[in-house]
Amino acid sequence: MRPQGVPAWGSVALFSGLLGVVGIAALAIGSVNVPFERTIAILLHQLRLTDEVAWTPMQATIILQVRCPRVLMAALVGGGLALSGAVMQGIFQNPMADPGLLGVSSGAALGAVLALTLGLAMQHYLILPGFAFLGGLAAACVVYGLATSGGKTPVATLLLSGVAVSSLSAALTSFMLTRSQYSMMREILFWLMGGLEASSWDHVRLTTPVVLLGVALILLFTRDLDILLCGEQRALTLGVDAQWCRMLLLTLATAVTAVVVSLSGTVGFVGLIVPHMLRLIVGPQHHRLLPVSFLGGALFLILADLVARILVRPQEVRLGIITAFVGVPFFLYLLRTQRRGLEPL
Amino acid sequence: MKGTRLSGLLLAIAATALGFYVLWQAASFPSPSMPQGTRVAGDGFPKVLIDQTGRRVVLPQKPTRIVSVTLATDEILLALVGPPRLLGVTYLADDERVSNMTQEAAAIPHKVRADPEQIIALQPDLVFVASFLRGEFIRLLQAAGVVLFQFQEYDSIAEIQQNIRLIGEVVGEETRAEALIAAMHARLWALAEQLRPVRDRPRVLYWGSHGYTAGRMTSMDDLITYAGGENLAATYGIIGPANLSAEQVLAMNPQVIISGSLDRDARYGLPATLMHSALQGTDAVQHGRVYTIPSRYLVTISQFIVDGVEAFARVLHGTALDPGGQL
Repeated sequence: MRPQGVPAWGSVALFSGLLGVVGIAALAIGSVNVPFERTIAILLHQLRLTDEVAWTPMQATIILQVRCPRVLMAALVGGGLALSGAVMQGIFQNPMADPGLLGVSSGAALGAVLALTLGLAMQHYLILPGFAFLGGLAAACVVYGLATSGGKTPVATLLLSGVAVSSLSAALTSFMLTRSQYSMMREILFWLMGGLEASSWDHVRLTTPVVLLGVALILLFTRDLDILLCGEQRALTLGVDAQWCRMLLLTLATAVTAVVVSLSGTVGFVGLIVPHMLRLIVGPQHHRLLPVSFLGGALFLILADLVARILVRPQEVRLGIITAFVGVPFFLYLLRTQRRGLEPL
Repeated sequence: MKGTRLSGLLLAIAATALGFYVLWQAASFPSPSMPQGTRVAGDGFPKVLIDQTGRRVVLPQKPTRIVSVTLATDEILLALVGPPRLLGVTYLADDERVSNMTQEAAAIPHKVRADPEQIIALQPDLVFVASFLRGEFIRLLQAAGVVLFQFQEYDSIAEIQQNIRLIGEVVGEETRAEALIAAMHARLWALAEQLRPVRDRPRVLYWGSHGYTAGRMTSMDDLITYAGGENLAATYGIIGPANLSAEQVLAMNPQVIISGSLDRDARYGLPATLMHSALQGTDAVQHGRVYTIPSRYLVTISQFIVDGVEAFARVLHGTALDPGGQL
């Protein structure tokens, strides 16, 4: 059953509403107890909607400096990954495609591990994400370079180059891990398992423009992506240059992925599973799927991060573990019950 | 065409090999850019704390709400300031497998993890964190107005003592810090006196979990040397921690092999995984000189390193030192 008749804006409004509710819940819950009404009061005061102060400065610091940036980063990372995943699945017409397909995630991991092992990640807060971003981008460039010959980039070659470069990056990462100090190894492993606990407003300021610009540009091409699914010849007759369009979307999705992965570490399954889940709900057409994927990814990751924070208090479970644990069973359930929904990619 | 492909392949192999080589070099320990801890300027209060990026923070008065987020600073601070001013120590301070001060730690009201919310909630005026804490965490805590002291994990007893002195300065307990250092000196000196007539300096190899050993520039090197042994890893030119295969251990032929154990009363024997059959050929195994020492003595980088030295000296030279003594 696919409710084709529901217009895209309906789902968008629904998901935006859910996102707001879940976002506020995520702000109110954490390792330190700040009552819900105080959380709301702090937010309203910050938005200059009330003058009343009924909380301690410590509570305001926790909500505004720790939880706000964390929830916003969860939304940006989740949204960015899910949207990129939906684009990759569309371009490659392959249900297994995920945002890390061009080696971005594994390249970013290698860059991050390099920064950590060299002890640079402690010197400045931008060094670790900077290295991760460059690593991700470098890996994607290598993949693209390897797959291109004579001005053409066949999709199959691109996929295989991505797999090869990812494997090589993963091997180099493991190699660095075995060479690193014991105390550092823990930091590295934690980064590799993904997490948003280090998110600050600086990260939000850095990520927001890049992710939103990338998302906006991708959303301009939703029609072209739908046309691409009908085949290159058909696309050409409809005035879409398949090769150019595909590369542009691939570049945008890869750039968004590189930015978010460099700040969150490796958070698996979001980019793979969220678009599939939503395809079952809103159908395969990209003008519906892509905006909802962004919102759905944001919603999913805020929830996953919330679970990561409260599951075994006072410890935090790594985000990558939660996304797999929450995402996979739900996805398998959908797969079993609505098998048909996956077919028309 | 064939030639081009071959040269392309060779180029790819060469590039990969070069990549591995560069990473190998980059990951070699010790790295020149390993994080430095916080420095302190000024006598008395206010003091200025200068972090590794050169950022200066003023500590206006003697801190009274101190939180420690590393085990080493837990142990040092418990000895220097104690409960009323020490609000929180790490959750590890309660764990007798790694902590040397479980009883003292019981009096501290809060046990913390590196969780920004939890730290901010204690409203501390000084927080001790590890030097390898990621820059992003530091930025987050600084943005929340937390004053941080980054603790440098030193690699020798002299540097551990320097660290105690520095922490004494920051918390305004210089006299206690000097007394603690003097006590360490006195015990090490007494041990050296006892060991003076002992000629034998057994060749010792530390072989810990996952086959790691510790060469020069490690606190383990000091621990073995002060305890009256020769650190074989250092003799073989190893610097810092390094991975050793069973073959290499066999070639080094240690007279004594030591390993850490999380068991509080560990005495003898390596974990089964390390009892490789190849080791049977070493002097250490043949003479029954394979020992495990409680990890809390081996991992400590506080004043308790001296307890580790004494415990290990008794293992190495038991009869010469203290006929009735037990580890």
